[in-house]
Amino acid sequence: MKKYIIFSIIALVACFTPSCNKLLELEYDGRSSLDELFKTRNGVRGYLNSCYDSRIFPDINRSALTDEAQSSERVFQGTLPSFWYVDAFSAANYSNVDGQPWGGIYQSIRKCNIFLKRIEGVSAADLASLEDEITSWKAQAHTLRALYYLQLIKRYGAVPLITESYEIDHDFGQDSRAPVSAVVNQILADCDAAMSAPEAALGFSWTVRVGENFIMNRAVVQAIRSEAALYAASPLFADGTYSWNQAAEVTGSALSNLLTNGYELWDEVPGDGVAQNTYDFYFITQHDEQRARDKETIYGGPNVNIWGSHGMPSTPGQQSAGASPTQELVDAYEMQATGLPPITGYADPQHLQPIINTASGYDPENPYEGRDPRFYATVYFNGAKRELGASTGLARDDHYPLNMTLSGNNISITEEDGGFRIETLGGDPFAPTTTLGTDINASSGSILLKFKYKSNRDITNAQFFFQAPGAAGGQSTPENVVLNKSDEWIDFELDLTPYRSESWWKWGAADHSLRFDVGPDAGSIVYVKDMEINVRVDLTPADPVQSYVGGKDAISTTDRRATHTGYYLRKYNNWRSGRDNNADGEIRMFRLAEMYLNFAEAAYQSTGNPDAAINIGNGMSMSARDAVNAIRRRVNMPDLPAGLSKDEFEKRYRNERRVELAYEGHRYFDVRRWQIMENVERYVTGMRITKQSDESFTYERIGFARESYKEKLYLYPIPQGEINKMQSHTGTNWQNPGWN
Amino acid sequence: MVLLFLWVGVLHAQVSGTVKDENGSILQGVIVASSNGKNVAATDKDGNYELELDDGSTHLAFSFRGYVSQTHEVTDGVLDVNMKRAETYDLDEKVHFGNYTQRKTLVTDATYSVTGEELRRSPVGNLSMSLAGRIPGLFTRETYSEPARTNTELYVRGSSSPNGGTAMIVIDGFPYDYNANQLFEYITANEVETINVLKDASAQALYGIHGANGVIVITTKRGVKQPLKIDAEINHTFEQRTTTPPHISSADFVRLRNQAGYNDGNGRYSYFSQVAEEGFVAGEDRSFFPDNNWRAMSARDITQMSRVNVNLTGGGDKAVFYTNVNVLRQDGMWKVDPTTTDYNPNNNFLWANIRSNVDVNLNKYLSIGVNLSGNIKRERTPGGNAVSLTYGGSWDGFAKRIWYRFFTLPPYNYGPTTPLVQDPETGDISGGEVVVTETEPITSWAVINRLGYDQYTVTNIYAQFAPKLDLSFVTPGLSLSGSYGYQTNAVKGLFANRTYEEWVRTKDYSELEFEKIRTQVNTPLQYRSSTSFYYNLNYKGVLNYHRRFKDVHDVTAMAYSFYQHLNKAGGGLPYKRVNSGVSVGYGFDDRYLVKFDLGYSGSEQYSSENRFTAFPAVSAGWVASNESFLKENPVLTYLKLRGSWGKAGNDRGIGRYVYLDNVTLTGGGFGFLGGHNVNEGQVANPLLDPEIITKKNLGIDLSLLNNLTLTVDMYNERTENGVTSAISRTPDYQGVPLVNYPRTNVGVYENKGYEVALDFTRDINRNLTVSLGGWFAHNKNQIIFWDESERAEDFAYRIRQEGYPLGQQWGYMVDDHNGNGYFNSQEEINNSGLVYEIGTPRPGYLKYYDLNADGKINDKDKVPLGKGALPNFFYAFHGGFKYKSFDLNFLFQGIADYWTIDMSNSRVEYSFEGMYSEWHKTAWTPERYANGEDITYPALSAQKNSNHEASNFFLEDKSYLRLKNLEMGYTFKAYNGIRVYLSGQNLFTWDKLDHDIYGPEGHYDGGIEGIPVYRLYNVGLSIKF
Repeated sequence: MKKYIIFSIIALVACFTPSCNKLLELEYDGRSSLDELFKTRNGVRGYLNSCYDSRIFPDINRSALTDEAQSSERVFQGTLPSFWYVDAFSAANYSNVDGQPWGGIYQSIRKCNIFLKRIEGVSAADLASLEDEITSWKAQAHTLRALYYLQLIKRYGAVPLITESYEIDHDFGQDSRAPVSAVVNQILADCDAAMSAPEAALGFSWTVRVGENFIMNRAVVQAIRSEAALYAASPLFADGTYSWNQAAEVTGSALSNLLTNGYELWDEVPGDGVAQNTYDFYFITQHDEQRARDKETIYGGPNVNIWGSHGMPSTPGQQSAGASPTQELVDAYEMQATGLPPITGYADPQHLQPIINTASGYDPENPYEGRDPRFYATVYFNGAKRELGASTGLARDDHYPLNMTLSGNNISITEEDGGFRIETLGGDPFAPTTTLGTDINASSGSILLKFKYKSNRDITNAQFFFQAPGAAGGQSTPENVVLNKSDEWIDFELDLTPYRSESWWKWGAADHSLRFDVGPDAGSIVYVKDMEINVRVDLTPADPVQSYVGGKDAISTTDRRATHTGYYLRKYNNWRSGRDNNADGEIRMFRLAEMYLNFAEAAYQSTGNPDAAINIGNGMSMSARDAVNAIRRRVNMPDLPAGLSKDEFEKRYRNERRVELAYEGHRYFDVRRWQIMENVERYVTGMRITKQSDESFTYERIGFARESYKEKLYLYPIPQGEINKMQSHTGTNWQNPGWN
Repeated sequence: MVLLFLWVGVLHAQVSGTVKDENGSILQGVIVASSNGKNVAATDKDGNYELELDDGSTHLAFSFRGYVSQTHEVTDGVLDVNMKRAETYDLDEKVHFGNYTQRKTLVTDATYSVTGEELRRSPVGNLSMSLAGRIPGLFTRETYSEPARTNTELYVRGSSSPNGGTAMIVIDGFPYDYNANQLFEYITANEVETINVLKDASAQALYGIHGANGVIVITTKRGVKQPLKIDAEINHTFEQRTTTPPHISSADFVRLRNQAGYNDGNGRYSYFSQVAEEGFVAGEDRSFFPDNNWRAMSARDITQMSRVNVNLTGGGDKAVFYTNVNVLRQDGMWKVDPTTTDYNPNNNFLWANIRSNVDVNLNKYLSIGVNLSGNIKRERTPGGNAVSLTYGGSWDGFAKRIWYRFFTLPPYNYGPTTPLVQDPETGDISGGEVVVTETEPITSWAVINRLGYDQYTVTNIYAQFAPKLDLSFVTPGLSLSGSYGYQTNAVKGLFANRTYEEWVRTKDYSELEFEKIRTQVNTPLQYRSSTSFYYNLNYKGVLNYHRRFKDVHDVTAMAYSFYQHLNKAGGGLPYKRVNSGVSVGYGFDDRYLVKFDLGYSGSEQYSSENRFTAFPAVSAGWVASNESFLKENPVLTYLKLRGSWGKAGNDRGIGRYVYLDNVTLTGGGFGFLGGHNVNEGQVANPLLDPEIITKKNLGIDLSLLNNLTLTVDMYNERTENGVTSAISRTPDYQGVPLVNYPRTNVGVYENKGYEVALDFTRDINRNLTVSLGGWFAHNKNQIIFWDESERAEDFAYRIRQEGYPLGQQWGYMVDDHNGNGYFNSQEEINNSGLVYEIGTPRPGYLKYYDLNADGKINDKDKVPLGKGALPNFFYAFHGGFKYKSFDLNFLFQGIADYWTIDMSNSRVEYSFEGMYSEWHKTAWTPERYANGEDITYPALSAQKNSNHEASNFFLEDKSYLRLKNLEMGYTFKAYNGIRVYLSGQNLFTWDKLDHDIYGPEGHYDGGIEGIPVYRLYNVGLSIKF
């Protein structure tokens, strides 16, 4: 007995030790391993999908770091411009519009490396996939890796070149930064590897299949080749490895490959009231993945919100004037009639004294007349017409979303299926919506109540009431509204316009809501979603832009919502955009116009003669001037004249590139690779316009001095933490010039 | 079975008697216990007790808090006892270790106990607040000060590992480190028998992997055999901020903002026109030029808390019980505008705690203990959830998010609402809309009055079932107990929220016009709710043995095993832990003591090879005063030397299952490629071990003249296998995110210090008793090795972690060779030849030392500032007296040698639309400098600039001394005592700050944005029946 008890106690106290280990074992929680993932079709595709994570899209705010724009955000603490313009940066606290993308890009490069290594030796049969699919996946990974390295060198210059993922015991002491040319070698090799994949239906194609928007394809490869070769030959990066000849060959073949595979400049003429011109139209239109309409875009980008983040304070809901165009950008637009630049330079370093080219036809008293059509598409200037189209028949749809409240009479409401599930429980079931809000302007146009619904039975006696909160009764819209039985969502629309003049119409009074009477019976189950009031507002043409002192959108130096330069950004902005209706356009990563310009630059640099045609493959030949003129013709600008010297042409070319690609994220990198940043970014100017008593305007250039023109800003600093680590691993300082 | 009955029949006694003090006064509540511990009774109001002994004990122990314990041989029949007040250590005091108890004289570990009776003197809502200054070596820091919702961090002997943190809490034998701080809300001082803090390895080793951060053992009260005894207590507390930031007038604000704009080169009247500035400065027409003190408008200066506590205890031979009911009501801190809400959004709390501990003797050998405690907290706060719903971001606190908006909303703003306007034709009244600013859509007034409210109901249930088997039939002194316990905590959030229209005043100050901005509309309340839930399941078995042979050989032994299954709130796999341990102690003649502990614990964090770790510890003690040469020494009445060596562990501060790769196939990513995506998380290190911290402790306890006691402890803690992350050496470009990069066990870390505690107690005469005492503790930690990358040679300090304490701060040194540390002219800047890479300085900016003499001011010039994250020095002194029916007790508490850099929004002037405080009023201007006036701040700017870098300019000495607690009481001789008392908490503070804008503690959100520490005044009444 005693022994037994002691024994059992010892057994108990000595724990369940043998089983303890098991007790603490991880229960299966869905973890997998790369070995397992690369045995399945979904695993492989999932891994490739994760390789896409770090693509950096262009950002409008980058313009404010160049002579394209001066940001009103500088008055606001903690914003990038507030740091940037005063040069409050060191390698330890640096960040750009894309933050510090160093680590992020390398994470995706590692994934590409792992993908390319592991996909070798995986057979199509094992994955239940076609051979063409697998080669397409490999090609995508090569393209992504090329893109990542391109994005790295543009920012950091020489970087470590890693094409096989590191083991955990990797010796970092062996590592070094590979010169830009070596990285470009790798980029071009990856591009060649991608292009070697067959162009089959499920392979690596020129076109994008349905549902595969933003997938890597052969056209993107051409764009990467073009930019990489151009950058490698540019003064900032050239080390003798890549000549302009090679750059011309690569950019030329990229261009001809694109042209022979269906890429062409957008030339759709906008309808009345849509946009000002073809160029304007392009930037307020989103690319379509099938390229049925937009044959210019090679790789798209994010939709932007110009009206709110870079908009005018007179637009309700606008938050910031954002990156306002500078006078320097405005000066860059040529005169349309003569095709000549209005301003040839500045007599002072502060850019306050323009050198006017009288031959161009430029009139300093009417500075915004007769300019390149792209000017009107890019800049809102004082006196610019905001709203386009005819003076009558204009309308805007304002959307006022409504929700159900979760309480009602004899009714149970739950949130379900992205909307609300309404179940009637007995007599007189009804449910109020959230309040309508005083915003609703019922004074003009038509008013529709819209929602989608599903119902478990036909309901023939639904009703809508207007009521104050808690109040019974209210007034009804037409009785016996019919909701049909349906398992699918049905669009419901009720025209409320006739009731607008009724005395019980209380819209605009605070707290009134709409009451939804579902019908008298229990047992009806109605699902409702996307409920809104749609008010069509008749528009009268608004005043033109008033950026003069004292105007509606007046210039300021301390207000975040007002321009600091006297101009507002128009590119990408659809004049219809406003609160609840962002119709602004898209900023592309790659488009065909850039490919023309890349080639033009490489061509005149290599031949020294802008008129010399060179063979660009696919049976085509083209001169630098031809390429630039292709861009100019689209916007009805006169051709550049033949016979320009290399230097003259360079000036016109750089201006053309600046104008065509304004606000697309290129200027920042261009002034750096041309090594002219220190000259152009120290002073930028704006135009302070004063209205005189006789309604005329006087123009005064105002300057902004910046500290952010210094040599160190040619390249991003490598993060200070990384520098410290590599100093101790390699004994060398990896930092870019000027950042130590 | 026959054997057992025979065995038990041997010793069986019936004892009764009366206990009085040395003056002949009756003592109620004296615990009378058999030496084997099974039979226990307490004296009733007449001092009588009655006890039936059936556990074979030969002695009876009499103990009463504050009196010297006595042991008497059992004699059948009457045993009357006179007890003497304790003026020195009570050597028979029971010290609770969580799994076992030990007589104090036999303890060889470093521990310190405080009783619930002492803690009760602090009239605070949260038990953790009462610990400040009560325990040598326990560092308390109030990190959040909303009345009754205060959070206090508790560190035992500072920080023993960079991955460690605050101490683990053990409640009635079960350890908790999840939401440990919150558990203090569920216990009141009235329920606490003792809180014992385990400080060295010999006390912590049994807790193995969870012990290293220190263990706080809370033991709740239990019933003893006695007639029903009722204690009731009512408290009413007035709460008042210890500091209140002074109001900055709109005149000052506007003036300073324009001054900043002027300094930035935007002209004299860049933010406010001349008309506006003059209007605000003149202050004649407040409807056009308001001066709003938002804090005074919406925050009450006094808030109130009331508490009711009833204790019931009693029992007979079969069963004893202890029941406590505590109800706390905390009133709101805000002034609610009754015209704008038809509900009450004010924050207020109602907490009810019920605890019931019952012990039932089923038969001679088997007894069952049941602990049941339930807590209901109902807490309400204005519009918290609405803020996150409407404006995004997180709402991470109740009152603090309202409080800081008092200061971020400028005083010149109109408000709180637009004026009401009546339409002369329709009679409709409009207006009354919330006035915000263009950049800040939320105002404190609007949060209180226009966003609705959140209500949280927390139900916390803590149940424990503990059968105990007396195994004296196997061998005397042996017992086996098992415990099963669970804690469940469920939070139901009910959010009644609404939104409001946002209006701003137009910039033209000559008119009073407003415009609506953004898209918010006024809505009625809408309800939403949330649920959050967590639970702990605990299983424990303990085998205890204690026997004294021949009255000289004292043997104790204990073995236990413990399993915990914790499901944290918010999903994820449950956390499981297994602990077990053995402790064996031997004492010879109460002179030579030795104890061996072995903890053996497992953590699921590690691979099966490394999963279990053993934590040995040994300790020894020598009670020199029991040696013949010191026995009966009239001066040195007690002397014990103690020493311990051992290991404790830590498994915190790392991700879960660090030995496994975490790769999962999920949906998401882009639509193409089948909609599949792969997440790569942590990269495994299968070799990772728990941190093992080797701790050494040397201690001495001595007592002089039976009045004065002294305890000194010195300790050293060293971690040789600290878990370090890859962040310090692994570059990012290798491609694995550093948070996922495998961690390694290479860190070396040291923590050392000492504690000295001195106490004096003396009964002067039968009417007057006096006590006085104090302690100080010094603690210093240091990172010895952290796999840190050495910076380039041109850094002034190439190493910034190794050799420094945890949380060492770095920044620039202001060069004040020119007398004031500012560049006083452009010329001075030019002559300095310095290139600032942190923003170009202007006249009036701080001049920093170019320590590496490279002509540039940048990261390389930074120096260590302050002395780490925790204070190095803590101290307290306390005392009191009792004269007849009057008693008084006080406690002072302080810290020293502690600095922090305060660059909170209110300290730097550019935050939000400008935030100004007293020190900005006398910022550098050329005029002030020329006139030789006092300058307290660099030239103002509306932009972040080179002044706004961590530097010794912003370093503040956060040392303080506080009259933490004072209590005065008078006892009437009615019933069994009616006591009325007054008490206070945080009554006076002395600090070294050069301003009164905020205090030295309790604003760890930064500056005036954190809610100040509260001062409490309490009136209480207690009645014993």
